[in-house]
Amino acid sequence: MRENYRLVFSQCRRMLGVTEDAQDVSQAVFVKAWQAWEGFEGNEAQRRAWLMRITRNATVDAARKRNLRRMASLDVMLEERTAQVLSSPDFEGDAILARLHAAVSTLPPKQRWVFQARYFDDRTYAELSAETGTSEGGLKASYHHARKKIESILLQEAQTLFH
Amino acid sequence: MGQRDDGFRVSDATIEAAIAGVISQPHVRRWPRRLSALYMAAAVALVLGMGAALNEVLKPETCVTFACQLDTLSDEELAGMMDLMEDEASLGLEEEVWPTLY
Repeated sequence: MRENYRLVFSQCRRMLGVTEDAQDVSQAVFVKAWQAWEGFEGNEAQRRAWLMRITRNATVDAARKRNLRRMASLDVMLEERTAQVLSSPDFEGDAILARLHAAVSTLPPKQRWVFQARYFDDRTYAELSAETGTSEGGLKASYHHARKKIESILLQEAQTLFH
Repeated sequence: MGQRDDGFRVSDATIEAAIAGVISQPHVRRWPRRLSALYMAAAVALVLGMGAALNEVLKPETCVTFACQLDTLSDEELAGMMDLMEDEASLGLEEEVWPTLY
């Protein structure tokens, strides 16, 4: 259970950026899982796949709601979210990694999910396709666009710094 | 999984506190196994009746808005459309349209 919680929380943390939001969503996912766990028929791998699926749905929904609540310019969002990540007590990465998380947070939720699953978790398209029911081609397109967008943000940043 | 370090650390204390919170939640009460057949039949009939009535009243709306049409696109169609839009970069539409695709 601890290992699964860690897995769920990491995904929520990367998808939502804010520790409190990630804790709330992880908690909601686990309460749902806990209540249904006994009635779930399947092996451990199937249970984990199911847990990951409800985590994905919950984080994508939460990210959508968060996007609706907050409309700001890209520059402002990047500054705010980089500062948020850097000031989080549970973040031990450097400023570049914080900027990457901030850039990821500006992506549409589904692209964000595909990007973090591929980039951080190194999951295969086949695995993601089986989990989401989306074609591998569709997932590749999402990842491709997410990567281009992030590259463009980080390049702009570098050009501003070294101009 | 966890191939690349994302910089985030979750302390054991956080995990323990969260799990304690989850465990304190009550389990969902399951349906009693012995529901009366009459009750079940009445409930099913009611649901079917309401469904049929609603079906008569509510006709499906025609998909006319751009957002609605986007929703009906498959991932492949969407990806193809996005590529076409990228080719039209001189129009400068990407920044406005791209974030609304999902």
